[in-house]
Amino acid sequence: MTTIRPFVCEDLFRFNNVNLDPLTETYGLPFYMQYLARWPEYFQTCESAGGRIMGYIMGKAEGGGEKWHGHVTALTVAPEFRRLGLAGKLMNNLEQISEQKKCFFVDLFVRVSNKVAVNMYRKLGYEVYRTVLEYYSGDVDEDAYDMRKALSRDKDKKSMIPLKRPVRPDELD
Amino acid sequence: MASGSHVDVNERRLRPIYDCLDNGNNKKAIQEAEKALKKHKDFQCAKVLKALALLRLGRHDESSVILDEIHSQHPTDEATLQAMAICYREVYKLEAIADLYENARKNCPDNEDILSALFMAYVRLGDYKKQQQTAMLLHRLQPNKNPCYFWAVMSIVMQSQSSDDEKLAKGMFLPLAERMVKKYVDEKKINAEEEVQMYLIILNLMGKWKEAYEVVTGPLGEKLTSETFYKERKAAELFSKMNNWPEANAKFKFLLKENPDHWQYWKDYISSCIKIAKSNWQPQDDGNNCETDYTIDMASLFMDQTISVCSGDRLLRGPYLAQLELIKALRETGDLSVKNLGSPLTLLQDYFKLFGDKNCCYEDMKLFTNLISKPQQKDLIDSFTKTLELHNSDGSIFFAPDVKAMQRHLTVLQLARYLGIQDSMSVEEKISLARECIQRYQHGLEFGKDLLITDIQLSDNFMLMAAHLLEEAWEETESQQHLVEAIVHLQKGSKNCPANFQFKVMLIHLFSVLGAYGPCQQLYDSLEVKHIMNDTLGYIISNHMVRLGHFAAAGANYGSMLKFFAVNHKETAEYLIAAYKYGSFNKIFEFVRFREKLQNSLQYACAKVESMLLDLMLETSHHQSVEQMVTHMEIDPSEDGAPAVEFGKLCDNRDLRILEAWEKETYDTKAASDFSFQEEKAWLRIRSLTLRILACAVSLGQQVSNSKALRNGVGSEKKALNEILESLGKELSEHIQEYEKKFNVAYKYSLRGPSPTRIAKYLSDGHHQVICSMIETILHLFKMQSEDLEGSENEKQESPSQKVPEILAGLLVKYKGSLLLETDGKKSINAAVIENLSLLAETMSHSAILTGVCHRILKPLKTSWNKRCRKMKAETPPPQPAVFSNFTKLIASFDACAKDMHVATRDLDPVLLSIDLSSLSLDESEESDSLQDAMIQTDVLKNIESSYQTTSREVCELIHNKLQYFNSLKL
Repeated sequence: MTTIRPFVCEDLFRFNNVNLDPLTETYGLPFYMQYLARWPEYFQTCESAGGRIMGYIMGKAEGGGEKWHGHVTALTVAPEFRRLGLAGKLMNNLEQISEQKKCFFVDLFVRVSNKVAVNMYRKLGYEVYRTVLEYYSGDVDEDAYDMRKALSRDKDKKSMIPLKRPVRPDELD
Repeated sequence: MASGSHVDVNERRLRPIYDCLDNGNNKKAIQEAEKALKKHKDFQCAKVLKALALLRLGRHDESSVILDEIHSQHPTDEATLQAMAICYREVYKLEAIADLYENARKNCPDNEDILSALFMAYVRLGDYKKQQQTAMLLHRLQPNKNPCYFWAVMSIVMQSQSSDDEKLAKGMFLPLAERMVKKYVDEKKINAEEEVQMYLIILNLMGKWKEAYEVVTGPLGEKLTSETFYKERKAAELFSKMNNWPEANAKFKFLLKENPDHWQYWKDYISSCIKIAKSNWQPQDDGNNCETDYTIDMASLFMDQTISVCSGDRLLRGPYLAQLELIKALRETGDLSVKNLGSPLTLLQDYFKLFGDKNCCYEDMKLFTNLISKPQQKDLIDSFTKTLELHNSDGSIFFAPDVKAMQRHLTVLQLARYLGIQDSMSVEEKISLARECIQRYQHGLEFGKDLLITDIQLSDNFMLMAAHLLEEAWEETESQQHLVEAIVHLQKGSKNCPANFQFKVMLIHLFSVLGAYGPCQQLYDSLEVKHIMNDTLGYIISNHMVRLGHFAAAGANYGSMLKFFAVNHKETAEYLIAAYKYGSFNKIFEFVRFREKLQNSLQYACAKVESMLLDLMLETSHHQSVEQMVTHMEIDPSEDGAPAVEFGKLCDNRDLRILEAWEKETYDTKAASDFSFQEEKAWLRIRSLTLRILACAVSLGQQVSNSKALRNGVGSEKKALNEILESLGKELSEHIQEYEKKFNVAYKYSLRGPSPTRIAKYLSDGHHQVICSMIETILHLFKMQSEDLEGSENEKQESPSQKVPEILAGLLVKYKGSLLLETDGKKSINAAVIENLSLLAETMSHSAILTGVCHRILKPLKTSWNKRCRKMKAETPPPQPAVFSNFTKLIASFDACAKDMHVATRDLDPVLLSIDLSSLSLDESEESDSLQDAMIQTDVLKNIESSYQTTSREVCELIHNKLQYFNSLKL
């Protein structure tokens, strides 16, 4: 009961019911437009039968060699449309696109405190690959989990073997 | 390589400058640049980098001298060009970038980098023709590179889209673009998915569906891989365009099997099926291989099958809603024979059974409730209510045992409200339902005690429902207690769950009804409205700030709104370029339209005009500073002058749907927002004319007093200004006449927005007369030559301006009043007095400026009259011309009026008058946690009180400034 379709600029005028959520960051226009211009297929939205935006996912493909992977930049669902499996649907969509692009894995960052999200990603097959210290800045900086899921091209799931030690944001590649 | 080493030397010398610039150390960058220039005085790039550093230090004049110098040398060196382009981009001189690269290209016609930079420069300008020419030059240089060729194609397509001439678009541009792509197809030169997409865009614009279908399903279609099922989706769409419903239906069915919850596919599937059924289409062979559902029964069967196939996993809402959608679509075509599908009433009941515990159930079901009659709707709600256990046998509240049961109750309440069932309730019943909701809210908090602070509380909607009911009780009884109670409960809800923006937005609406802007600002800030939200959500506060006399807050808010609009146009141009670079041709249309909508935003235009009016009102206590400000603002009063508002192009980007009030079907949200857009535009017109009138009058006054040649004052320029003023005045009067018919009575908007402008008050109380009379006076004085002074001497006629203090005084009598009203022993806040006095203060400040202009015109006349008197050496000096004494009288009346205003405004301060706002207190709350409620209420009233104080203080200060202003205008 959801229409998944490409996110369009016009949606920026009416995504407030999603973005007024405190954990959903509203970025400057260049940020969205960069994704729309460069990875339009990776930016998808869900629309309700009543025409409201239910949520959206923003992603990209990057990296070289065996690190060529799909990345989830933002995934959010409006409160009234939670617990319907939308996030899973959007993630699945992004994984399929990444498969098409012959990526090795998909990764994402999530706040360590956001247990609901971490559990959801686990259910979708993601595992914590490493912890990134103080990745989120705020009144108190917060660590992030870098979670990963291997795609079919990474047959041995090498990309998912967890790192033993946490890394600092400047060590990220 | 000799030249190579030369480049290396230069690079080495530039490196430190770049580093300083990157680190934001602009002063050091200048030093480094000067060091490099000492060694090599014609080092272009070093000069430009110095200019860039100067620019970033705000030394624009010095910077532009250097840039002009280099620009005229027609540089071709890449580093220099890039640095210059950065400078021009920062000052948003996009034409200069194009000119720069155009000059460079003439000197180095074969330089690919220059050409491609030139192409991008034209993209920024949106000059599609030049884009095309430049892309073709690039293509000739690099015939094997496809992207340049397709840039040219896209530039041609854009010309077709921007051309007003349909014939030219369809007859020339599009066929040309098509031929160009076709050529590449025939020569098998198409490499990339983007290029195929380009072809599809063109065929789509030309309506060549068949050709497009062939592309999608042919060898070129193999390249369309980046979106899953893109080919199938596109094929289904194209079959629909070709009215080939059987094929379209089969495709949509295929897509639904893959994704049985996709709503758009269901809608398309259903509409194709109905079209086939109506045409009595049958498959040609025995139908064994036919995937098409060509009867309604087949569609119904497919839905049933989908339901049973999917029943294993998480239940999907799609196929269930599809059944309802099928009935709805059949009804729309006039077909009421939907017997085999089950009755809509049963389907809705079944739907509730399955999904009633989902938050979105209300939103799903409301789309289909008009499939059943009014009495059936009531039955529906009754039957739902029966499934809920709400009360114990003794009538006390039975609380939901779990979240699901609670959510089902909420769904029923929301639907009942939407269906207007609460309308038949008495005020007492509404209040009692509200109180029950509050208790249920409180109880429901138990279910959410493990939630994070960033989560929404599961029972929040009970509280919101209670607030809506209380607000209605206030509207019906006009008893403010209910309003205050709603605020208190919303405040409590917001405290328990700061993540829920519904509380905050509704609180802003309710506080502003009470005339208290202060708490609104805190709430708005906590919503973290930023970037594009300034455009879509700014409306939540923008009509209240100045209206309620919170000028400082208004200034700050307009500032941040304007900052967003100012940078966005600059920044987003770069992404148009990115879309060309990455071949995202579909996005180019989108970006162009999006930029236009932002540039022509109503909110932007309002913020621009309002912030200038605000500055003119606030930061001035004497006429010289007004003159400086007008010069600084660079307002061009002439037609289409800055800040120009293109009323025909204005876009309403406000997101008016963010508050969920389970609004009754009877309130026409669409009509309200349409009317609001008209009203906003009308008010903006009045405000923008006011601004231009003020600016024009001030410039006129300045010109008169600066010009010695007043006596023969027929300089062409001078004449223009007074003529402009006259025509602006006329324009204002004409619009006022038009608007008086339409807007002089306030539209009854829902409290949940949009909010009204001040136009109704402005018109019905005749505030425009002040400006109009002042314009007449100014024009009258302007025409008066010093020789006429004697003539006017005996004319005891009053100038039109004499009316103005009378108008103001009359309005003051009407407006002034106590902040607390008492009727029948009930106390209530008189919010109108806040709004009225703020508006009057603004009108007074406009008259001060225009009086200042009169003073400017009269002053030289007075001086020359004094001189002549002295020359005459008459024993008895001639009596002063009436025009001077009239002006002195005018100032005296203004002064008196302003003093009265000052008193009236000071009386708004609740503390000064020791008004006890807590005397409004609710004595009826008997709930268990009334202590907490009482504390919140004290807080709320304190906030309201301090907001009134701010209003009083700011308006007082403004009037105080105006008193000074008037006193400085002595002849």
